[in-house]
Amino acid sequence: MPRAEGDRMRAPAIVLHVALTAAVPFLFLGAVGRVKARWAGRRGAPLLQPALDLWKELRKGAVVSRSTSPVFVVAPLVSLASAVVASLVVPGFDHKALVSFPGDFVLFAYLLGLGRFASLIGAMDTGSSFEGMGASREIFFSGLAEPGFFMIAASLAYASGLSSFQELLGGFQRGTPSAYLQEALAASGLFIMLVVEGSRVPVDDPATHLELTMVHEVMVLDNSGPDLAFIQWASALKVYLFASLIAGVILPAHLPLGLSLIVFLALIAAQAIAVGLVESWMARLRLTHVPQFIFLINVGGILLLFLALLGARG
Amino acid sequence: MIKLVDVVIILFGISLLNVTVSGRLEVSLKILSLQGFLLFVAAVASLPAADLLGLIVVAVETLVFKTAVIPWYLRKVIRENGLYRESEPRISNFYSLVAGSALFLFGLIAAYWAAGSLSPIRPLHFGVSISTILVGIFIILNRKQLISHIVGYIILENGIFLLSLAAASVLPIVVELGIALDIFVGVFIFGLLVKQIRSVFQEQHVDRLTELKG
Repeated sequence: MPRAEGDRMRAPAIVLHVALTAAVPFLFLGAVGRVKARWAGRRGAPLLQPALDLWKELRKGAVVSRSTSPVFVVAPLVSLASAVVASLVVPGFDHKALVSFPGDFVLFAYLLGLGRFASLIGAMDTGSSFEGMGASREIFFSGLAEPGFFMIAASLAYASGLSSFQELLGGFQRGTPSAYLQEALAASGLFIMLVVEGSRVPVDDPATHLELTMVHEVMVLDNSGPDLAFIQWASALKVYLFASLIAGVILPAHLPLGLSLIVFLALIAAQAIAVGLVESWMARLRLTHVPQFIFLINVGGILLLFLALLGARG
Repeated sequence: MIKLVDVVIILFGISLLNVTVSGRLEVSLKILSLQGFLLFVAAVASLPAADLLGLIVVAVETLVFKTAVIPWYLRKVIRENGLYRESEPRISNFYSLVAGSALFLFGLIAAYWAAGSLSPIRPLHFGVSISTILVGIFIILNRKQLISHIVGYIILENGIFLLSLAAASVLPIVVELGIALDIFVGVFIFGLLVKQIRSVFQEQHVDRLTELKG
């Protein structure tokens, strides 16, 4: 296919990709809430409730404590901006990212790191001891998760011989037992990361109101109005990014565009249902057991890396 | 190339990590059953098709002994002696998991090395068996409860069984039977020992064993 024609073909796909990135994060959280409600025998809020909440918060004014510095005001913006920029390198339903270059998964990890750093200093800026405690837990948990992410990305890169998100998810050889195993390992590792980043149930309970056990929620106690909206938007977007990475790991390459879109959305929906069911079935882990749970990403990463290495050696 | 049987070996390796963090004794026993079953699948996959006698021996050793009889007997010992408590590790579960992963990593490095060498050994079997033996020793060192030591001992033996599969053949039947008998008698004696100690001491800590007088 000539290049120009290919680009013209790509235009609707790009628009769709951007539209999905804008809308699906809220639908994802809405679906999680709906699954939890259904499981508990309630009807549940509309699927768009998270988006409506965001709209409501955006129209409100923010209350800023007198003890804070400008850091507190900037932090939510940096958090959202880093998540939005990170979304550029994540491949969508057609295994194509908006921006792609070798090693972009490193950029992805560090942009999320930047957003996390911003929310940490924003939380510590308030001078609240609770928020400092939440920040400390957050950094400990994400520090445990990060090596695992790199091992997963590195082993997929090694297995496919390619080095950008778009290429390594699209160029990964599927269909052999070894590939299924690697897909399962990568997907479960990334799912734990999704749970950590989205502060969902086994790690953190988004519905909790007891500061001593909170991780992510405690960090945003002082944020209100648009600031809170930005933080929640960033969080929803990060969950969606991890969900689309998982979908990208499983999604077969070279499907027709329409089918690829359907499979992709089905995979995302399946993950929303999985998150909701996990939250309905199990309680939050004891705080001392959380590091253990997160460490599993590293174990999966090690295993995946060696499977890739062994697969190459024959 | 990684084959389907290697998935079983990987599952076996993951079950090892589960046992390093299992808090309760009964969970360890369930994992022992699972490991026995996985070993059965792995052994059947590596047997020559015509070897009926070998199949029977392997089935008796793994399916009957390792999957059913030993966990059942240990569960009975636990129930009769009221040992429902936690397995009481010396270091916290998180560091146990880190240590277990390090041992697992060591085994995988061994597998990678074996895959590159000229020896006809199966790399993944070899690596996971090395980690299994090490994790077995680690569990024996790490747990205070006497009954957990038996679990560690059986895991160690599972590793040796896997090592024999790694050599792309199964041990001679006589050796297999000897090992199976050894384990069975070992576990049986352990169980009796636990019972006897129980009548003197209230707890089952190995630290107290130094106080035993003949």
